[in-house]
Amino acid sequence: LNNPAARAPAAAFKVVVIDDVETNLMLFSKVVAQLPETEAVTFTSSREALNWLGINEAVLIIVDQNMPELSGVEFITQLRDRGNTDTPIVMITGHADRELQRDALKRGASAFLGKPVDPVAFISLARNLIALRGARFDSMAKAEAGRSDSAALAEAIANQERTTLDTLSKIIDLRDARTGDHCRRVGLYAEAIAKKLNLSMIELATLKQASRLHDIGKIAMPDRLLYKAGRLQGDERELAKRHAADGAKMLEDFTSSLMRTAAEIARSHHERFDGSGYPHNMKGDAIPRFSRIVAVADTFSALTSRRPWREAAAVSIAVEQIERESGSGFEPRVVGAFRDAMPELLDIKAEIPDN
Amino acid sequence: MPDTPILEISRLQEIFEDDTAGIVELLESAMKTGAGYQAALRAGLAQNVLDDVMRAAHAIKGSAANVGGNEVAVVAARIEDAARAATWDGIPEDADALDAAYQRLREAVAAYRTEVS
Repeated sequence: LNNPAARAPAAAFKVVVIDDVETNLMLFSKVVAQLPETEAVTFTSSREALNWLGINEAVLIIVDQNMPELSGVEFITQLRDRGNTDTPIVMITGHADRELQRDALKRGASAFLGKPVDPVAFISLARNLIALRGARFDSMAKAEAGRSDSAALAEAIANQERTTLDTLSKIIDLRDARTGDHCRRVGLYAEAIAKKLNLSMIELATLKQASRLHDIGKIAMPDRLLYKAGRLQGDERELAKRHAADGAKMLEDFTSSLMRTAAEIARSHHERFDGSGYPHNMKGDAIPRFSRIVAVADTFSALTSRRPWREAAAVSIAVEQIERESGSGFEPRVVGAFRDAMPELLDIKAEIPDN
Repeated sequence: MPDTPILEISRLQEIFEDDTAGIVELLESAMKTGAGYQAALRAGLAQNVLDDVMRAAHAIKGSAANVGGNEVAVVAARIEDAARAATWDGIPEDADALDAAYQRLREAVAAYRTEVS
């Protein structure tokens, strides 16, 4: 016992015993050996025990109150202050000092045993404390595993959503490259306008992604309309208007928040603030907020893009038209944000030019 | 002290079971440690330092009780209690009684060693 720590076996749960009387350490070692898979690591110096516990794991600590270097209570205080809050500690007290025990409890002691230690009482207490600690660790490990599983699942779902959205965007692009570029611009325009409206980061990301699909309904349009070199006429215009409802129908079976938002934008981005839009003549705040933003972004992108039957409008002309329709076609607050976002909108326009 | 056994070996047998060599090793260690505490108590007594007497008596009480040295533990407890109460009353007499009890304990330990060897 001259070098107590060196007597600790390599592979077993460790019970640290600290007592300045070596006879007591011998006795405790023998008692601890009766616990399953458990062996004692003994110390006559509480400071040495603190150092050992700084780099090693124990399932239980037994500490005598009356020691020359640090008392049991001082040892417990220092150990808990060093961040060891889990290891149960049994303090051995030679006399039933209630005040001392209350203090020790406050400092982090788990239980008390009087001298002479009753081996049966000790084994019973030690088993319970070790089992309790194990159960707490199991529970923490399960909670941690649960958190990891949930995070991994959420990440997998987010990845799948992104892939779905990218695939649908590609379909739009392949069906009509002009519509594909327009959809990308609208996503970025909508985000830039929404930033001026102080939307949250999550809302901005959702709006940017979901609005890329606002014209997905156009992939169901007949070729003669989609690729028509001239302006749509009469029935053609009415037929083309169906793209809003068709787009919503294409996306309606998705259950994620992102795709449901995409469906909502597809359905209502042609509604007008005064109720004169389509497909449902929705009015004012009844129009989903994201759709009110996309409506402005969509119009700005459409006006400043070339069509087979007309040249692209100058930015100033497009701005003038949108401002003119503030309160009738568009929500005034969104038009204000659109004006504020103009430098960013011009950057985006330059980034995705109209081909 | 007819009602207080000098060495209650059953307590150690409960812990060590058939390991009689372990019991002997523990008892001899306790005797060696006890001799040191006895000397400390006598020094405290000679120098009239009540705190030293109290600490030595406390250590003797605990270590003797742990190995089943009940008579020694009981006498040591009396000395500790008196010292805690800040009185020398009875301490010199009990110090002598402690020496005698320790002597009986050493003899009981030697007898046990002979018995199991």
